[in-house]
Amino acid sequence: MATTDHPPAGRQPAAIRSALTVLEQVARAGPGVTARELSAALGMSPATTYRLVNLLVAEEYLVRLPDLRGFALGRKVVELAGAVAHSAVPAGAADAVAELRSRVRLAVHLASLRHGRLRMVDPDPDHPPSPDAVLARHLHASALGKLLLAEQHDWQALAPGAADLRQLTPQTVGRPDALEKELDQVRGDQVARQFGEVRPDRGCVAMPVRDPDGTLVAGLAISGRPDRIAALAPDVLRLVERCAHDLARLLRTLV
Amino acid sequence: MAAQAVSVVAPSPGMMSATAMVTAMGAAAVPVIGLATLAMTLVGLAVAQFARRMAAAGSLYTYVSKGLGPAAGFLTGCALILAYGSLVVMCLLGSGRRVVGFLAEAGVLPDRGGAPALVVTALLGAAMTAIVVRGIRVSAALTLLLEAGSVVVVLTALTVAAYRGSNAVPPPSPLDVGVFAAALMTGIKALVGFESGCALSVEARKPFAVVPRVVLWTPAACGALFALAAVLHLVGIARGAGGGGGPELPILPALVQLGLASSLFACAMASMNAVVRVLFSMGRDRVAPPALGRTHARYRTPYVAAYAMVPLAVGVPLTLLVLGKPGRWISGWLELVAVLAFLIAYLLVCLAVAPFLHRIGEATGAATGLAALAAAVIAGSIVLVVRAGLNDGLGWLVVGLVGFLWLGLLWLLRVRRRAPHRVSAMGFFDAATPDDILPGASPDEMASGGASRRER
Repeated sequence: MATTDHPPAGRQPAAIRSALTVLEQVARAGPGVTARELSAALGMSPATTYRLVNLLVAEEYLVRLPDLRGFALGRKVVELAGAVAHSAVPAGAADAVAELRSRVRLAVHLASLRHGRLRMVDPDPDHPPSPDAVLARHLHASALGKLLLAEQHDWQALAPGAADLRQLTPQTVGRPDALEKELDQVRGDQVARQFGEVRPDRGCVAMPVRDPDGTLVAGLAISGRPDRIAALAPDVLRLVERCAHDLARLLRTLV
Repeated sequence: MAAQAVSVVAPSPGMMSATAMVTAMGAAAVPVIGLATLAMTLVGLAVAQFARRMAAAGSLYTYVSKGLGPAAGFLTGCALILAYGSLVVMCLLGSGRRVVGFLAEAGVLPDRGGAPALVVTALLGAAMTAIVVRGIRVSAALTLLLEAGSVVVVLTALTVAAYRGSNAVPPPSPLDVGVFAAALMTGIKALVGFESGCALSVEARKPFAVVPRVVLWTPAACGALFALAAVLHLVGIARGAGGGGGPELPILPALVQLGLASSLFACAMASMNAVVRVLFSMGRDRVAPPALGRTHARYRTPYVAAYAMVPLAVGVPLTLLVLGKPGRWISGWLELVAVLAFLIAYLLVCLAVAPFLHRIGEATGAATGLAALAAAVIAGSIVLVVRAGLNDGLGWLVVGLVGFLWLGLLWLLRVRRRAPHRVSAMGFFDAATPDDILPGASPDEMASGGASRRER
């Protein structure tokens, strides 16, 4: 095939800068901005702008919208932004999570687990979880991360850096075979737990939210002191389970 | 993708016709080939304007619909069906003939009789349909292999011939418009089909990067190959006149036959792929029977459209063989139809560039100027080709072609009367879906409308 990708030459700083400017302007102007508007906003010549947007579309940093006039940021930007990008949670889902918060009196977090990535979409405002970067990098330690790893055929493929299973706390699972056993249990119970593996003073229980066709969409987690989490009343778990069940319907538009 | 475009162009038979042109008109063949290449590259530029902006299985049909509106788009579609269809028939017949020729050269068959040709062509037709239905991945790898092999074989043969000197008679030098037109037609015939890579854009991985590159480089590279073949042949003639001219290696003619056979088969397959995707797009737009727009549950290929083409693509060559029509005679016709239909589609796509770019607000002087130039060149070529056809007494074919396109328009009018919205919504393409767009950056209407149009 004709995909002879040239090695990056690095000798066209001006062109790269212009391309990045176009990207920034699309981000600022919002989806649907046209090439002509970009050219006017940036003071670039139309021909240059059109060439740049078409290049960015070719490399999938931009997407041409169905009307063929407008542009929006593409998938590649998501991949770049990684864990940083937050997406709006559908209103119904946010209500369901808020209701659960009011009833369990524990921290409740909702994280997207689509595309093999952990991304907090509705962290508990009163009891913020560990930073996204920590959770996403050390999937083996958190309950939400374990949900994600349990979904993979080979968890090491998803978290190559995690092969060394970094010890965040003395409790963090440290041996691959121990983790494998834990993941097997998660697959069976459809519940993931951790006690003080990310922070010594926190424990967490996470349940999967699945599409109608069974794809893992998100994880719903409740977290608190490890001893409280270990001794959760069954009806609290049932509430979480029901909320996860409701979310499956409400989160269909969550990307 | 590249495989697709290259094989519809079918470089090795083109190289053979380049040598035939040299025999017919001497050194003037090289500039004529250059001219044809230039014209096709200009069209390539116009097509790339679209390919850079949308991924459409219907290739030119969809592009023109978006630029000039449904009627012109449907016309382009009909022209493409006719063009690819006659290419399939031509190549299948040619390939069958070459295989039989190879078997005869190799001494397996006593002579080049009709019955073996019939069987071989039927087998090739069945294989082609099966591969097209089975999916692009298989056929792309296969076609590329076939093409590369046959180009190497033909180049080797020509080089050997050039080295040893050929016995061909140096041609007469005078050059008139008729010869020029015929030569230009041969040159264009050798190059048409380069745009067919667009038909696979929906199935490619980075379509907006790959397709424009393929569309631009295929005519240029193939044109260079043809010029090389012509020059090699010229060298051969010059050395032959100087008194060389030993006997050719006995193995080469057989190998060349096999090379040509495989190249023609690849061409048939690739044309089939392209025509099937035009039909598929028409089915999706519901301006042709919607069943054509159905894809195979497992291979995700437009298999209904593929089977619909079988009677034409395989049946016609078989019928012709059964009727015992001489192959050369029939391929002269098919060639005229194919070239003319391709040129009409090209003309329309060049004309569509300016309104399309204007509509999406991305018109530049350079782009529209080049497209206008390309349109002018193609229009000139159409006049020349029609003249050449009239001179050969094939005027009725031209009339038939125009008649077919009229029928196409009448069909569209009928559809419009019954379901006007279908016609006005024509031009199905693979739009961006929420999956392609940054979360939170997608406008609301896309979330609901986009997904259902996604094909894969």
